[in-house]
Amino acid sequence: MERELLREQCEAYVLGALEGQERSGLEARLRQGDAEIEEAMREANQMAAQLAYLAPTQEPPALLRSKVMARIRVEAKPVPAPRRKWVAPVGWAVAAALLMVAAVERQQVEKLSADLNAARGLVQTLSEDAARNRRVLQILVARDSRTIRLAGTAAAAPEFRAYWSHAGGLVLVGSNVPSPAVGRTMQLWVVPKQGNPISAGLFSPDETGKVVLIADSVSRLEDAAALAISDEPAGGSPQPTTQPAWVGALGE
Amino acid sequence: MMAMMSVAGGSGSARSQRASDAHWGIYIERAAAGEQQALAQLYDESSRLVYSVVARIVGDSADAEEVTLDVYTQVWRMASDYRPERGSPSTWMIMMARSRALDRVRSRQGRQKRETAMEDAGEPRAGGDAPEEKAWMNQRRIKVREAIETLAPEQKQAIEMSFFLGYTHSELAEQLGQPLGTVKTRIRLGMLKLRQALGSGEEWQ
Repeated sequence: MERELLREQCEAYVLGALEGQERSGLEARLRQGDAEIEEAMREANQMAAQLAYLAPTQEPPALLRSKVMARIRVEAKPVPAPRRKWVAPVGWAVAAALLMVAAVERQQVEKLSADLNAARGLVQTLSEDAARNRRVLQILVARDSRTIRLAGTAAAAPEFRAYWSHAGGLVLVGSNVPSPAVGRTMQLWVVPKQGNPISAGLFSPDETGKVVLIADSVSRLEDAAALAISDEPAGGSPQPTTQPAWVGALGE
Repeated sequence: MMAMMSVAGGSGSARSQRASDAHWGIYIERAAAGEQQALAQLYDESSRLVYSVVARIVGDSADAEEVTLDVYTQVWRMASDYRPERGSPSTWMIMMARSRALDRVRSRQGRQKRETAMEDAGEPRAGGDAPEEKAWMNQRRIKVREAIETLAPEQKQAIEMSFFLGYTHSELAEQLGQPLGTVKTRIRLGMLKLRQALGSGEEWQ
């Protein structure tokens, strides 16, 4: 086969244009380890690859790098046996440069690892929030759900609402609730018809003033006369140490 | 023509490409030894080129992202199989990216999408930052575009359709409504002209 014709066939082959007997004939020679064809194929590949530069420049998505590296980390790659070096020695300068690159990369990996841990924490938080929200919703929509309004004893105090169902339990909800003073907390009490108040949980509003407290310790309200909230030292009190700031009668 | 050959043979951009290919070869060697940071470095220096080729072929950003992800995964897996005597690192990666992108298009929607991708592809977008990698890529791009413009329009069309759409001679003949022999001649003469304008690519290694 003339060299020029071979080169043309190889170029058509690497472009994917060659077909039929021309293609199968070329592949057969390739399989035989024909050195002339291997050389022509290498040159054709080199030539065709330059066509890639005709593609309009597109910036890869910013997160793609992280995805690539995450996938690479997943790949369990055993350390291969040493093989023939093909790259000529590049000298200490390049080695030093590569070490610097490795150091920078290590920092990036550490940052990525920190980001990943933060993301895991967020997922965990969201997961916990979702579970809590499902629980609250379960109480709110229960057939036997009842609402207890807790009115503030001080002027302009926001109202709390408690929702109770036998199956779901008790949840306290409030909004625009002022934060307790430093070293203080809010404590919910179940006030029985007879006997001393029973603690139902400690809480503080979040940064937006919202309160959602699921009172898991409360299993029944049949014997209760009221719910109350008092301001207590941080860590709570066995019994109320201040007058209740909010009270809601349970009635019948 | 002489100017182009001169550039391909020894300009700053050619030296930059040679240097890049040498570095990419080192990264591939290190990746073959299991060094993840080597692949990260390879990604940083080559992803714009790889992603651009893939995006041009698949014509869809989501697919382009997935295919590019697959390409680098394949580079990682096959790093120890890379043989420099079969082509430079950039050639290896470009042809791998092209192959996977064409596979994606073929498995997705067939020819229609490929043609749409071809039509949608516009002029190169202006870059933002200008790291060294982008500088030599831009110079290379300019030279290749200059070279392709020396071709007759029908030669350029046939070669671009073949490279970016993966058409065979027969498919090209059908699409272009030309005899098979005519299409073969267009590809053959077009590649010959490109070779004369750019060299075989050896000078760029």
